[in-house]
Amino acid sequence: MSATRRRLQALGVILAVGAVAAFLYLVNPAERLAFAPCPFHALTGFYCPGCGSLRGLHALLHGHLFAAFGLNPLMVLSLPFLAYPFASQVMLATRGRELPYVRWPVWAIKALFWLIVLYWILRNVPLYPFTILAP
Amino acid sequence: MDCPYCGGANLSAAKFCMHCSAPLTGTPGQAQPQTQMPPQAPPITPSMNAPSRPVMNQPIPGMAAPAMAAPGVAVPNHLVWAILVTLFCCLPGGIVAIIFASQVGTKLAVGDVQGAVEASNKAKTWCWVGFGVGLGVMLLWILLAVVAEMANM
Repeated sequence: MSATRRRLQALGVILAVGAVAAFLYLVNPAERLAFAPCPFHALTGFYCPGCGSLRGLHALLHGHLFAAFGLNPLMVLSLPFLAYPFASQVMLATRGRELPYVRWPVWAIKALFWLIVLYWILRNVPLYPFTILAP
Repeated sequence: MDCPYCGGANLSAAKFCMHCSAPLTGTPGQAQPQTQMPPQAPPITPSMNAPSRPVMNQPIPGMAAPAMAAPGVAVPNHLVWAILVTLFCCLPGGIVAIIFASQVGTKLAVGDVQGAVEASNKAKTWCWVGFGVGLGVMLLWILLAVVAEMANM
């Protein structure tokens, strides 16, 4: 894969993220049927770790940080970690050089896995402190 | 040359595969450092090379020292895509991808480059599976919505 092709690929990633962001800004997933409901929620009635992500992103794009946090706090907290690779793609497309590759330590990845599993369970507990986690 | 692990084409001067980051020197068997020591490696004498190092770091016969096993090898673990798929698209595929992403690091740490590349490819595959399933559900939904709309007219 040549350097030019890598840069074009990075540009494609940036354009795709931009297109999704523009669409999510314009369309409210809570009102319109443009987005499919979560299959897990539709089948079981329980929330999955991703439930509320799209509505949360819509709120975030309109500047409602707290509303986004209420819909899916884990999604909001994950965004800074996703911003770095995105910035790296921007650097690759514009300057031709990526940011230094950050490898997560294995324990952190395992912790993330258990965090998601725990989050999945806890946001379905219908008691006060856990209801914050539900969308 | 073609990568012995993933079969991707590379420049002849390349030392690592640009598709899967596997080392391109020699055959896949040679790239596995657990079974053999580097042929030119001088015998390590802790008193000469690294007096501050604990004695534990001496290589045990038959086992490669972890740090020497894969210098500079960067096997992508696709963790970012796994998180994206888990939180925004389709959870099961993303969760499996996160498990394989952690295996990439575990296997690299013990010098199992081939195993790390395999885990990396599995993580990548599961990201795509999750993404594909999510996309499929979305398209099915749009199709149903269009059909329902037409039935109402």
